[in-house]
This record gives sequence, structure tokens and C-alpha cells, in this order.
Amino acid sequence: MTCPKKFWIYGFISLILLIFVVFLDFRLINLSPSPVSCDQIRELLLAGFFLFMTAGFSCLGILKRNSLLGKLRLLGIFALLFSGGLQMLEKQLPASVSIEPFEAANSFTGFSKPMELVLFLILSVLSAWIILIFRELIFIQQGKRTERNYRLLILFILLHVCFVFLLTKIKTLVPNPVEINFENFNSNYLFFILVGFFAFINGFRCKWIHYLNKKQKIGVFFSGIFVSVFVFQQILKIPNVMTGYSITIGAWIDCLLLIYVIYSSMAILGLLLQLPSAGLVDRRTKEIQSFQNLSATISSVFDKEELIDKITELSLQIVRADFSWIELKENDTFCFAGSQNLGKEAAEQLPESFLKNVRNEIKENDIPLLINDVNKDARTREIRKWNRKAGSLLAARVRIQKKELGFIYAMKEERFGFVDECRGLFQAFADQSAIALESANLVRVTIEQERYREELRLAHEAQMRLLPQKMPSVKGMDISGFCLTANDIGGDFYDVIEVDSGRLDIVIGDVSGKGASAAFYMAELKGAIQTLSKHFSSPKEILMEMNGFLHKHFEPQTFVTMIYGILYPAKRELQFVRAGHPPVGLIRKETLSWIETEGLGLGMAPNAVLEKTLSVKTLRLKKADTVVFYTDGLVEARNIENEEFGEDALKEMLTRLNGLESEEMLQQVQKQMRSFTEGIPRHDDITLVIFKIL
Amino acid sequence: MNGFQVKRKDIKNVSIVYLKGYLDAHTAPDFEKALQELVDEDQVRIIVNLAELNYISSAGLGVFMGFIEDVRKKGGDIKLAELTEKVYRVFDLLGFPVLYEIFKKEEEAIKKYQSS
Repeated sequence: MTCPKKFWIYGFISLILLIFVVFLDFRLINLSPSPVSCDQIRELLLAGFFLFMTAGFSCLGILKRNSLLGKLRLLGIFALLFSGGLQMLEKQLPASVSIEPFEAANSFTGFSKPMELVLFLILSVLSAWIILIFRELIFIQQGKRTERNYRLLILFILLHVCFVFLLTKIKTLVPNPVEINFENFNSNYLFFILVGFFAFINGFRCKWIHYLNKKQKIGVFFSGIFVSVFVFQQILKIPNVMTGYSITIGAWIDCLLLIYVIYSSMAILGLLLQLPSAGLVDRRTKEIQSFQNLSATISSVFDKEELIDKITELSLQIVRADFSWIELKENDTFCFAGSQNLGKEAAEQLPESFLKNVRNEIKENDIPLLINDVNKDARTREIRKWNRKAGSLLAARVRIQKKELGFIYAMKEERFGFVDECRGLFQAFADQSAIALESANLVRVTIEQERYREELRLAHEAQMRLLPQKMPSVKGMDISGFCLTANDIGGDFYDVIEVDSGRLDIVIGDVSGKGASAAFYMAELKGAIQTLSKHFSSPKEILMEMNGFLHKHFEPQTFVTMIYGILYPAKRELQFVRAGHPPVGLIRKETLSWIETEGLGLGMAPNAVLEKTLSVKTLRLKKADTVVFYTDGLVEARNIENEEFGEDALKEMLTRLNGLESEEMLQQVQKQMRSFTEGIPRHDDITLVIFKIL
Repeated sequence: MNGFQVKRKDIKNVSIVYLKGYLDAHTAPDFEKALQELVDEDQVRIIVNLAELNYISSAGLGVFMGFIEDVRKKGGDIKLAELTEKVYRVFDLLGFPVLYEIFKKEEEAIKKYQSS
């Protein structure tokens, strides 16, 4: 059932009950002597009316929508109206009715005038709202015992009401009870005292005071006293006038007055005690808010300009300065980066000597600098040259771990404007700002890195496409090759070019260096080879051509090692030159021998020198021969114990795998190399070309 | 990261650079700095002693190539001395003996400078 619906149902029920009561009252007046049994029924009806009404009101949740001040205002207004209402009702009460404690016979009367009924109704409603507001206040910042203590309070109220009801009504039924001593004041008011006790316990639940600022606290304090004066007058008259119309409701109102007196006394006392520190509390709250603000900014603002603006803005708030500015370090000098309440032109006119002195002071002492009178203090006297009014200064270093990012300055026009504790506060603020600035930097760097990574990935893909996508199938030959780069892009390459039907050019190369530049050179060389192979038939000539432009074109520290082989499958003849590259391996009859020839790397010396050094070797290959070209990344690969793979291990591995087809051999080599280098990132490209004479 | 050290000793008008450890792409800049210093000071009669060098990569070899032309233009040279067998093989495969004078002993290299 939804709340509004509940309200209507409860409201309807309570209204019905009230009508019954009114009906009874009018009948009672007409009947005499009054039928006693009607009393109890009447009380029960009234109690029911009140309970359902209160339940209905609490369903509405109107109170929840009000602010704290709103609730306090309502409480004050209701309390005033309530006191006024009680006064008015007193005048209405027939003189014949006595409301002496527990006086059964004359202790109540029915409603004889409409005015009585109206006032009674209004006071009941007000009392319901008042206890509901108290409930709201008590439950602010609820603790683990709050609910329990509140329920106990309500319990004792109910017990008191029942007790009073029973005592009074039993007296009516049994005129002269001997055993029960009703005149004992203490025992009659036992539950009432317990209500007071639990009101006291609940009186500690004044946490709502913390939510008021200084002005509000003062306001609530004085208005609380004002209202209490009226309400306290009413509690002096216990039992209250409502008892004259209903025992149960009257007993309930007694309890309410008691609760009000106790709770408001404790709240007023609490406010009084907190007034002196109220100003400080407000300041602290504001400081914390500034920090929270800055924390939120750190995680959301990554634009440097915006961040600097926010930092200077908050720096004003946190130490209550008039104007502030921030310097950031750029290439070992400190440059103005932003300000608040200070124009750029004015900031540029700040004497450099003044700023230097301040920075040095901070660096030497490693704490923020606080100057109470900048014009008099020897350290900051230079500021007199400046044309803007300045009294006190607070400055701190913006630093993260060991990295100095800059300095932040705050000033006030009046002297002695900053208290000593501002130092610690300002440094904490500067530290947070450092985190924010560094985060913004890192985010920018990360974004750039992501971009680079993506570009490298594309370059890698482009490079992979430069390697032979498919080996030419030549009758009587079995050729395969692979290249594993160390990074995304590298300097190794190989190529197998079917120049014409009788000639196959097989090349392997290694551009010194790593990364982007090596990759570029590699691509250039590949292009050159594709062209040169068409025009020249001697490997030496081709290499000489390449060396010509490499020597002029490349940086001096870049060189290329290469093996250029020309294979004539029909003749089973291989002509090759070795330009500074690791030697060619020939596996014949299960023995591997390295074939070394004289040679020099490309790009290292002019053609005249290369001409004399490079020698061409011609190999007559036989059936079942295997020829291996490789790059030094293969033998120089290191395992997790920093041991090199080595030439001997390569020799052994190739000899062992020789029985397999070239493709399979390559796969096995790859597998072995991968397991050898496990745990270590590859530091050099690995390339291998194998061809067999079938 | 493998360690690398560069030490310099000046004898009369010859400068000897001692390399120790692993010379690769990471440590090459240290070697470059040392050679640059020598060139800036016009100490161009250089001997590089590789007795304690465990490993050299193409980046390390490139450092030599990067300076040799300037040094020779200034009337000096880079001579190599006391290479271990393993390191000599690396230099040999690349063809360094064609371009550089390599000596078994440091004194021989010094003598070569003095006699020229």
C-alpha cells in the first residue's frame, strides 16, 4: 500500500472514531447518571483516534522534504501554537471539573461546546506533529542505539498512559480499594519519571546542531529560548488541561510537555556550548570543502589551463586571500602560469628579485613562507617596487616526491592577514595541486603514447607486408624464411626474388640500430634490391651500387650487413657475397660448415675500399644440400641467465633438424629460440632463410 | 641491464679509452660521450682498449663508425687494442680490420702513434 493511501485509510478510521466519541459525549450529557462503562470505551476510542491519526501523518513524509531549518521553524511555531491552545482550552474548561491527579469522579468531562472540540482536535494534531518532528531531529545521524532508545521512550509513554488509565478507571469501578495505595505520589508517577529519563537519554541526540552554521546556531538558540519560555509555563501545570477531556490524551500530553522541556533544554545548552567555536567550525568546514573540491577536480579536469584556473581559485578560498598566482617550472626557469584576482600585466610587473628571494627562502627552510608585513620584512622588501597594494604573503612549493613543479603564492592587502596554521594548510593544498598537475601531465603523455603505439603497430603491419608473402616455387628447390622482430619494427630483412625463370636472388640483411630509423632504411634497401636485381647479374656489382648511395645517404654510425646470393637452380650454382654479415652455413652429408669470405659492411667505407675487400664465392651445390642464411640476433639471443645462444649451439641445432623440410626446420628453430629466450624480452631481430636442393 | 664502464687515461699526447662490460644500445651513449669529449678537446690520437669488454652490439660498432671520419679529418685516428677472441670475431666479421688498425697489445698501439 502506498503512503498517501495509508494516510487516507488511517485518517478515515481516526475520523470515524472521533465521531463516535462526539456522539457519545452528546449522549452522555443528555444522560444522567453517566454510564460508567462508556468512559472506558470513550477513552479507548480517543486513544485509537490519536494513534491512527499520528500513524497517518507519519505516512505522509511531508517532514522529510523540509530542510533542517524548516523543521526547526515548524517545531517552534507548533510549540507556540500548542502553548497558546492549552491556555485557551483552560478558559473553556468548566469550573466543575477538577483535574487533580487521579481524581476519578470529577476528572473529566465530555465535549459540551464546539469550541472545546475544535481546540482539543487542534491540540491533538499539533502534539502528533511535534512528536514526529522530534523523531526527525533525534534520528539525524542515527547511531546504533538511537532506534532502541527512541522505542523505549515511546514504550514508557504508552505504559504511563495505560497506567494512568487503569488507575483512574479502576478507582471508578472499585470505590474504596484497600490494598492498592493510590495516594503515593512516587509510584503513581513511576512511569512518568521513566519517560523523563528516556527523554533525557534521547536528549543527547542533538547531532543536527552540527549542520548549522554560526549564524543559524545563534538564531536557533535565541528563538529556542523564546519558545521555551511559553512551553515551560505549561509544564508547571501537570496534569494539563487536556486531562479534563480525556485521561489518556491528557496523560500523553503530559509526557509530550516533559519531553519538550528536557530535549529543548539539552539542545539549547548544546547550542550555547558550541557557540564560541562555531566560527572556527565554519572555517574548518570551508577548508575541507576546498580540499574536496580540489580532489574532485583532480580526477576530472585534465586540461592544464582549466586546472591552473581552478587551483588559483581554490587557493583564495582555503586561506581567504585577496589574490593569488602560480608559477610553473619550464626548462629550469619559473614562469607565470595563472592567477586569480590579479591581472597578467600586474603579475608580470612583480619584481624578479622579490620572487627569487621568496623561492630561496622556501627552498632553504623547506616550509611555506609566511610574511606578515611584506613591505617591512627584509626578505620581501623588494615588493615595494610593485604598484599594487600588498600586506601579507603566503607562498609554498608545488612539489611531488622529488620533482619540483613550481610555486604558488597567496597575498592579502592587509598586514597580519594569515595565521600561522595557514602554513600547514597551504602546503597540504600545494601538495594536492601538485598531484593534480602531474596527473594532467601523465594523462597527456599517456594519450601521446597511445598514439605512438598505434602508429608503430601500423608501421609493423606495413613492414611485415614488405617481407616475402609467398615463396616462389622453384622446381628442385625447397625455400623458406622467417623474421621475428624485437620491437614492433626492426632492421632485419630477407627477400627471395625470382628475377627470371633461371635465376633466384636470395638476400638477407641487417640494418644496424633498432626502431623507426632502421626500419626506414630497411624498406629503402628492399626497394633498391628489387630494382638493382633486374639490371645487374653480379652480386658484387649490386652491393657496390648500394654502398654508393648508402655511404653518402646514411648517418655515419649506421651500416648494413648483408649476404647477397644469386642461385641458378638448373646449374645448382650459388654465387654470393658476404658484406660484413655472419657466415653462410652449408649442411652436406650431415655436417655443417661455415663459409666465410672476405667482406665489409655496407655504408662503412667508400666504394674504392669495398671493391678491394668484397670477394665473390661460387658454390656448386649437390642434391640434399642445405644452405642457411641467418642474422646475428640468432646467435646473440640471450636466455634468462644472460647466456648467449652461440654459434656452436646453432650449428648443432641446424645439423640435428636437417632431415626436415625447410618449413618444418624453421618452425622447430622458432620453437627452440622461443623457449631459449623465455622470460626475457627479445632484444634483437632474428631472421633465418633455409633452402634445400631436392 | 648489463653494466658498462668507460675510463680514460692520457699518456703524453695519446688518449687511451678503456671499455669494460657490455656495449649495446643502452650503454653506447656513455661511450659516445667519452669520445665526444676527446674530440672537443682535440685529443684525437685515440686508442680504445677492449681487454675487459665482454660484448659489443651493432650500436656499439656504430659509435666507432660515427667518430672515425671526424677524428681522421683532424689528423688523428682510433686504434683498437687487446681484443678478446670473441670480440675480435665480431669486429672481423664486419670487416673492421680493413678500416682500423687492431693491436694485440696497448704498447704496440702507442708505439705506432709515436712512430708516425
